[in-house]
Amino acid sequence: MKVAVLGKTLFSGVMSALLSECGHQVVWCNSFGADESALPYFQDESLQLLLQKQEKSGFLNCCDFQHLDFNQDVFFFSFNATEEQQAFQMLDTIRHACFAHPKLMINASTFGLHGTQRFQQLLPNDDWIYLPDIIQEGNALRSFTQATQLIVGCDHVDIQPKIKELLRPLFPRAQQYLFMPVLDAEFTKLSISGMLATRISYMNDLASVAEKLGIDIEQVRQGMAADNRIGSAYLFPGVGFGGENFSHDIRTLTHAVADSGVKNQLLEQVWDINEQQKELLFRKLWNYFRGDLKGKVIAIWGAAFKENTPSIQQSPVHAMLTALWAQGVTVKLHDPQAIANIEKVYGPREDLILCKDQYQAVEGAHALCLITAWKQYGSPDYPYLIKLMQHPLILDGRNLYDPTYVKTRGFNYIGVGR
Amino acid sequence: MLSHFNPNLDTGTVCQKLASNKEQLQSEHLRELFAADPERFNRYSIQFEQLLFDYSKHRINKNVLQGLIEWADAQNLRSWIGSLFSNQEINYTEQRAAMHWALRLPEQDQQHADLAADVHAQLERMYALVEQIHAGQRRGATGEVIQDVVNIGVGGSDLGPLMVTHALSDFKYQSAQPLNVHFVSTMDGSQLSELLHQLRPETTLFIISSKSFGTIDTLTNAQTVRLWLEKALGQHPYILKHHFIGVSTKPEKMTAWGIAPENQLLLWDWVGGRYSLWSCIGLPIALSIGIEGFKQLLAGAYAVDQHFQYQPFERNIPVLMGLLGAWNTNFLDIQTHAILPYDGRLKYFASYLQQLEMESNGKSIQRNGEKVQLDTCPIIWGEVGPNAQHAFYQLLHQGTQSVSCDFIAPVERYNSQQYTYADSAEALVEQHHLALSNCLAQSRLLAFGNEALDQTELASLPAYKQYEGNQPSSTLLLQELNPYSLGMLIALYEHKVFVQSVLWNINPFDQWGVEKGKEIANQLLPILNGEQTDLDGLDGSTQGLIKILLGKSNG
Repeated sequence: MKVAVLGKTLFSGVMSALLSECGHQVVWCNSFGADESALPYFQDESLQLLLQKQEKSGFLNCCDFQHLDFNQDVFFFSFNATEEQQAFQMLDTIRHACFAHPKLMINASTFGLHGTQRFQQLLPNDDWIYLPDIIQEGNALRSFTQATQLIVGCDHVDIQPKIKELLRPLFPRAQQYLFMPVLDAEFTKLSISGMLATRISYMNDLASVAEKLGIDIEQVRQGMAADNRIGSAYLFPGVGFGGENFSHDIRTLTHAVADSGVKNQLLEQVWDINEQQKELLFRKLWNYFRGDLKGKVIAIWGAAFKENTPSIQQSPVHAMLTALWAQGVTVKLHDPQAIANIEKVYGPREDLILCKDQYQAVEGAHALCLITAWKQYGSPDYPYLIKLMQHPLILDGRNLYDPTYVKTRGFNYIGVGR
Repeated sequence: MLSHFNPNLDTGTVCQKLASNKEQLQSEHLRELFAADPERFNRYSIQFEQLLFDYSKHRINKNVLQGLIEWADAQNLRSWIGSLFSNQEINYTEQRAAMHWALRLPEQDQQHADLAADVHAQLERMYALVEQIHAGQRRGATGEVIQDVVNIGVGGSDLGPLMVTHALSDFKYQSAQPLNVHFVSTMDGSQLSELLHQLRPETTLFIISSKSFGTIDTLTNAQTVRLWLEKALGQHPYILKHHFIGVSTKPEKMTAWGIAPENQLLLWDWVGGRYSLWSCIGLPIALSIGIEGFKQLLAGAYAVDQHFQYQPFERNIPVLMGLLGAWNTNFLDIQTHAILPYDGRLKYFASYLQQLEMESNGKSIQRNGEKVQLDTCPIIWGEVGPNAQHAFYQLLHQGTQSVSCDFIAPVERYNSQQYTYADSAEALVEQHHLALSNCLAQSRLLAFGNEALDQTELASLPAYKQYEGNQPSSTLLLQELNPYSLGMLIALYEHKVFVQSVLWNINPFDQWGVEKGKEIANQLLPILNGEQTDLDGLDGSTQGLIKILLGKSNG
């Protein structure tokens, strides 16, 4: 089939790669205007490799929106929440183009409840499907291909064969599809994010209690994970969840709940706990130094909202930087991939030193805060660390280290809920 | 007619002339004054920026007004205004200047450059603190963000900030995290006891606001919250540092109490407590309406300062307010003055003016040490108009007391897209129109009495349904109630008070009448605490009451 993928998101990259690999003729429209810069580059190596391979093979072509050929069988739309206006402008252009209807139109953007319906109002004569974005950053291709069941929002039974045919090479069996009305699917997508966020905030809430009671939350976490009704995913206490889409989902869901008039405070609390959690290491520092942080140097390892991504959207690092700077602290920051993004947001400033080397960051520091669990932070050279630091204090925002071991190496250790 | 000082004017003569004017006017009802002059409203109203002052419903005519202005001249008002706007120690009983006007000087003021620099240095410190709190970066001892600020103060350190904060609630600054501002004043702890169990010590910041830092009401409340905090967070000086701000003229007393130097905001002896909301005493105001809002408030007051200094008396609103008030009190024998705002946000305005006017001009000794010849400040009282209509308006309309009134109302309301009322703006605008129509109806009925009623019905009305009228009132219309116009309004009354003090030749800036009571209370406290048992020397009534109080506490 001839497929046009519109969007710069990770999902659009994944679909372009996978569909062209299956033999579909894919044109990936990933720049919206002629003035826009180069193609999106994903830090996901396997995805990047596959995209390059497909481009070479000729099954995948990239273009900007002005050069998009509207003679396609399928349109796949995957926009960020912030691109809503552009998305509607493009749809408006497509509406006025001359081609035969109906086409298969797939909305894969999360524009809240009724998002797909608003698209459909512009192009009412086409067959509309909602395919929720389930891509996990850092694990992009497999998070789609290994889904046990694809949730598909589809209001008419006769559209089902079209989407099945498109995805047949990836999902050949009928039971791999879970069809439901579009609105239900949109709500499901948000509810999944809400559930995961709730698990994290629940763990963080328990962690603060555990800390007061002298319990190590890590033991508790392992115990809970061993219960097969619970499982181990999204049970890690830490300095809070982030990520653009995930956070956006929670906000959208919270507003949807509030607008419905139902009195429900759970999601508000989930969000608030998480916002509090983002500052957790700051508060620990504040207590440790009795509110006297002026002039101190604090090292931070990790700026990305999670490992294996350069994204700093909604990352705890922002709350930390703002809080530390407000107290007159100089921050030395290291991250294997996210430094460029940090630079983009904050620009040059005297109280922010960006470091290429993780050990350079701790030089002269009064404390080291670990915010992102990048693998390379897992086993630091402790003797070297203690030599470099002005004061031996490690704040472990992801409970990455063994507290006893760190303490025997001469450090003061503060974790989350332990 | 320009108000040049006329050395030939003598207060006695002028007052005699005014008294005879009064005799002539005695028989003329307000409705006759209006009937005689279709231009009366235009003649007797002044538009000044966002504010309109209508004094046409006062029992005056051209001669009276001229006489009143001559009185001001005879009392040297022009030169007294000059003294006020200088560093002269016109508060002679305390050897202090009264320079609250300096608090609203623009930063770049040339005429008083040093003063402006001093004032703005403290304001900048306050703004920095406000910014920190608004950004959600002011933290308690545990590192949690401050979410509640409690202002502990009494009198000028309470009423002004409370009144303004309430009045400008529609202009609440949207801080990074929700911020609540509370006020605690009463010495019996009743406000505190209700408040403390709703607050978390970790996220609460206290402002101890006391000009002298010796006010017992404030210090006992402060001591109670200090114990409350220390119980939860422990007893360390660094804990106090994160939860207490002090505003005072006395840094050494603040330090002794435990307020860290960086948390001390200063004001000056030359600011009277009831004139101090423009200084760092206004911290709760700045927290509520933001720094820009606070600057607007100051700018509104500054505009009135200029108006007061440079407008000729017959176009000078505070001068006219003062003169009309004195005319009502001293010549028309009207002993009370009601403040009636037709806007619920001005709920505390009457109590604020009670302090401003009655503490300033409730005096009976002249500057020359002699007893005053004329009555001074009338009883000031009032309430939000629409509510008062169901309470004391009966007396205004049909009672035996004469009362003069100030009606205050905003022309526009619910006109900006405020989140609090955006949803029901239309219905609320109608409510505002209802309030305005009531405001006009009441001042009309007060002035015109029966004439405001349907004339055809009048003949058949029994006496108890009739209205005498002839009660004077002013109407102050603000284009809208905002920080700027409120700043104007407050400054108008401040200067009105000064004008009257000059007419009566009294010092409006001291308050010796409230000192002695504090002293006597200090003598009685040891008796109630059981530290002292000697009741001799007390009057019989007090002895009797103490015995009951002690009996109760013992048993």
